[in-house]
Amino acid sequence: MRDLIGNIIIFAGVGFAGLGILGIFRFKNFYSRVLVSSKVDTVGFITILLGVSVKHGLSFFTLKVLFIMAMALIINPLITHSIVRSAYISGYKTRKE
Amino acid sequence: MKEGDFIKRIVYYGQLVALFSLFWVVLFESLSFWVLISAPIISILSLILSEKYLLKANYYDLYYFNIFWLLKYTVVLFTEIYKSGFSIIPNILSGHANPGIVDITTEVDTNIGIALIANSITLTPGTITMDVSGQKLKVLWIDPETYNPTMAGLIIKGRLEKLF
Repeated sequence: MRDLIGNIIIFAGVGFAGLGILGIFRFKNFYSRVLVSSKVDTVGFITILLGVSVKHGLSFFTLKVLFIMAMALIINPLITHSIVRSAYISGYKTRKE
Repeated sequence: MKEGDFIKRIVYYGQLVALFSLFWVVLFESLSFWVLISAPIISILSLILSEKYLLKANYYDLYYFNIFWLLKYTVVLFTEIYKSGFSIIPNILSGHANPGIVDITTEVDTNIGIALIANSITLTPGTITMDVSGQKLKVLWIDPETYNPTMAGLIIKGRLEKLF
């Protein structure tokens, strides 16, 4: 049962990541792409890791996965912020699609 | 130093040591005697050394947090992430996006609080913090509903800020 729930959550995460990738291919401008890409690396990634931890139950492995998730939650926004900030400083304009 | 402040400080360092010890034990993947003994010793040692050589002030003044508050914040943050994760799906499917830059101000006044708010805004899909100066944040938004700083601030970070 736990296995099944874990698999469903993992598939939901893959679905989120797939939607994000679809968005990256669909939009043409830098800002819209970078906004949509955070769907892959936050929502998709978190959901997949949650699914993995549900599948394995309470163990050291799960705690390690949760630590990886905490690290990703701290580091992800820093990277996105630095990329977008450097684009803004070098003068990219926002455009409508 | 006041009496209450001293107790708060002890509790704060206690929770740091507990967190670091948990990390140490999880990395070793065992609950043997030596691991349990070495965990708090290594935690206290790393706290003392990093405070002495890496930080300009102490952890308590720079990074004060409460573990239960942090858990509550994480729950709210996750609900916000999933809510905006779902709300961005129509934009992707229809291919419609009109990114705009909105200026908002936050009422949080500590450095770590502003950093937390800015990073949480970046974590939620659809909004990215571009620049922070003082309490003013410059936010890139995929489809701005309003350019009014107060209204935009309420929509973007309303529920997160309420917890401070």
